[in-house]
Amino acid sequence: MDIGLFLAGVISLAGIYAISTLGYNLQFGQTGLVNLGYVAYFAVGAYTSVILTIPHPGPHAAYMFGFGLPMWVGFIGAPIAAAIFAYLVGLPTLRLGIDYFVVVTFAVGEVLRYVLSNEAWLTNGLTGFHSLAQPFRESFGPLVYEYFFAGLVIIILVATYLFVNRICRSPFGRALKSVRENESVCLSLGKKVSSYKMKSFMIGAAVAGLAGSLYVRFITLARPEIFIPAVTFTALLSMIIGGKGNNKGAVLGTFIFIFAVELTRFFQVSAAYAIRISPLRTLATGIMLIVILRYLPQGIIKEARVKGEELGR
Amino acid sequence: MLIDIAQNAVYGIVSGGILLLAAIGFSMVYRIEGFLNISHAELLTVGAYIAVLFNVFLHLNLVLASILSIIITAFIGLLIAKKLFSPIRKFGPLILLITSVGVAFAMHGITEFVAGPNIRTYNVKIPMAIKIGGYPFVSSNEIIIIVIAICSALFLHLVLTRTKLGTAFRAMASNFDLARVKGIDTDRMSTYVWLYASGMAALAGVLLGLVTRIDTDLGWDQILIIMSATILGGLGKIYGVMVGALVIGLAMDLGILVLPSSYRPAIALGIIIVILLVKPSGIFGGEY
Amino acid sequence: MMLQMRNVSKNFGGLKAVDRCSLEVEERSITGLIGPNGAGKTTLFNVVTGFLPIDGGGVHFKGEDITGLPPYGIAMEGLVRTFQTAAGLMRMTVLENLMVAPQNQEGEGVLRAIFKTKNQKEEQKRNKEKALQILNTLDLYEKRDEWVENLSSGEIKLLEVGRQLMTNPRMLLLDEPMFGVSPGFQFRMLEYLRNLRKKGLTFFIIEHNLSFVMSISDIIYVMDFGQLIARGTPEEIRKDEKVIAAYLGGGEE
Repeated sequence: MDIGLFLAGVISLAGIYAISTLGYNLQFGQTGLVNLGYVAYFAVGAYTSVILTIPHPGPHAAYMFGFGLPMWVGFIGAPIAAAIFAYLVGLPTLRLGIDYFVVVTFAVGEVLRYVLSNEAWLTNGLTGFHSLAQPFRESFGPLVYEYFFAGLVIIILVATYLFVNRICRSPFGRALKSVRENESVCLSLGKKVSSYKMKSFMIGAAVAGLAGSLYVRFITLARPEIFIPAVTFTALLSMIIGGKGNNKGAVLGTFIFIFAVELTRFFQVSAAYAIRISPLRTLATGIMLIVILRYLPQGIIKEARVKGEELGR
Repeated sequence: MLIDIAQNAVYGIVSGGILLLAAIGFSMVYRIEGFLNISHAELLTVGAYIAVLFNVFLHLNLVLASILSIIITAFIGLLIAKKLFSPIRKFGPLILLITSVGVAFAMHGITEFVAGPNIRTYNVKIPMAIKIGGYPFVSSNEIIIIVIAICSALFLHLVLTRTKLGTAFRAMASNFDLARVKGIDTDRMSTYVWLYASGMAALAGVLLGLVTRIDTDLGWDQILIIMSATILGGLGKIYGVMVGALVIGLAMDLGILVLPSSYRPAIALGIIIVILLVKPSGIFGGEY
Repeated sequence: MMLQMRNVSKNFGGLKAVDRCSLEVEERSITGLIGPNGAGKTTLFNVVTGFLPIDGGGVHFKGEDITGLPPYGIAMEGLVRTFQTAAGLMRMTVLENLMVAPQNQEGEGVLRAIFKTKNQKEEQKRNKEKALQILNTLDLYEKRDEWVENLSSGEIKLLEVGRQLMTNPRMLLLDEPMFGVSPGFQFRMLEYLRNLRKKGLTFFIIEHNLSFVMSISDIIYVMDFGQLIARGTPEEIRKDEKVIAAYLGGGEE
């Protein structure tokens, strides 16, 4: 098997997940919002980009909508739709205490999956959408395309990183940190905490939506069974490995995690063993989470102290 | 039509009963240990499978297998608590929560690895159907489950109100530090809570295995519903959780008379979303 | 009159934590609020600054009615408070704590944050200079890049006052500035507050440390069981029988 192709695929996957982790880190690491249903915004972005771009359904299709718009419209519509969804979810829930917020966001993630599975008129139900078009696919041969796609993902990742980093280092980002640290203090300084939380929630969701729209182009498939809590936990674990509150860490942690997981595919010797590897992977993920939280809770890259020289530039 | 409602109401009570067993433990752990233990649901899976081990592979009758499973799972839960959760208590409930996610993953992986992908069922007599007016109304299994749930709730109530242990628990639940100052051995109580919660989770898992198929997702599929019941009754409120579980069970099984059946779990989640928006403290005031 | 409260009340269930309190704080004065534990002083602060909903009465600040405004709204009017337990923004540096404080910063809007304008840069520079000056006064300049969680509680309390000052308040409500502070820091805090008062800031201070309150306040109010039982100059209060009785009679919870 061609190592180059394999690497290109892993880089694409890791890059897409890294984008998602950046958004998660904005919500969790920077602002302190523990969103256990992050996959919902990933999914909204994914399905929005698909529905906007697939051709109008034929007379026998179960689903009703397909707008046939160009692909770039999908990539722009995805984060917007995700942000709008986040706004609707956040409006009643951001004021809840942490434990309740955790549960309700988790619930939203799962309810969305049920809706995606059942409302075939919109999402084509359990079957979902397949054979999705990929950006610039026609311009390259099938093998070269893998490299192109990886490169595309990296470019978008870099752009997202610069965007999120810029936000985090700005006074807005500083205000988000203060919300994370102590909401009462934040209020006493005259800052409208609810507004900051909502903005962070929406931007993080938008980034998730972008990642989701890329993901379905990567696997050319959009089905409800993809959008399970594991997506949220991938972002969570990646963020923790790399270091909470730390954008470099978010990317690094994601790459470490995804590469580790994908490398285990090499251990699949035969079909009989293949079945047994998957649970071991789950086990290893769990152990990793437990161990890191106990012995290295700050992650691999500690949250950087913003030195005085950097402020006011 | 009426028969459908009645039948589904019975299913609902059964579901509620099983949920009660699972959610009470979850709630107690939240109250005493202070965090949402996402891995609690995995104990249901473990309990169900250990019973399968004794019942299907070692040919013990199901009652004996269940008792063994409860005991073993209780200690598994305690071991996990002491080795994995206690050392990091100082890091706060958020870290504990995320760690419990890791624990859930680890448990799921182990169970899946050991048990394999095949769906199991218990070796047990085919349940009798009890008929009312010629229609099969409820099965003997279901009656047993309801009875077990009721007994368990009563047992807990008696322990809480009539024993020293129960009083100690209520003191701890109400004010942890004050209880410790008054000489209550909070470590020992913590042990009992973990044992009881894990044991009840195992029981819930076994009973669940009686009415649905046993696969490695048995527990994990329930975690959000368990949390829903707990929140409905008020996080950490024991009696509230009992009622919450019943309400959720009934809502789910009556709800699918109206909504597509694949939405069943979503009904529980939908309830909880609504409750959290309207009255986050649950439907009960009061202490417990 | 900077701050005026009329018949302010706050109930918790049947308990009257604050029972029809009326008081006034004059501009450029230092007014103290003392009373036994559980008298309701912090609750009064919380109600006045919007952190707890008010159950009765009204509050006027700078002549305007601020009753019922949310806490951030009241802070934006220039009525800024501190907290009794050290409320530092722990996982941020000392300098960051000060830089986050000024209100309505240009860079706090999302779009402005992304497109850094020249105004924003200059505002940040100005804020930084002001922050460094304050740190200098507080003798915390050396620790400006430290995590706040690494400071001593006395340093954190000093920092908190400095931080609230970055908002250019008209009036500061200090909730037990001496609480949990070692004597060395108490002296520094006293000096700092005296200097600020010279610059024309108005203060309303809750404090248990009676010698501190007596030495710094122009007027002192005394609270017990949710009610105001006395008002006067430090000398008057020292001799007031009701006050002595309240403290000796034990206002313990």
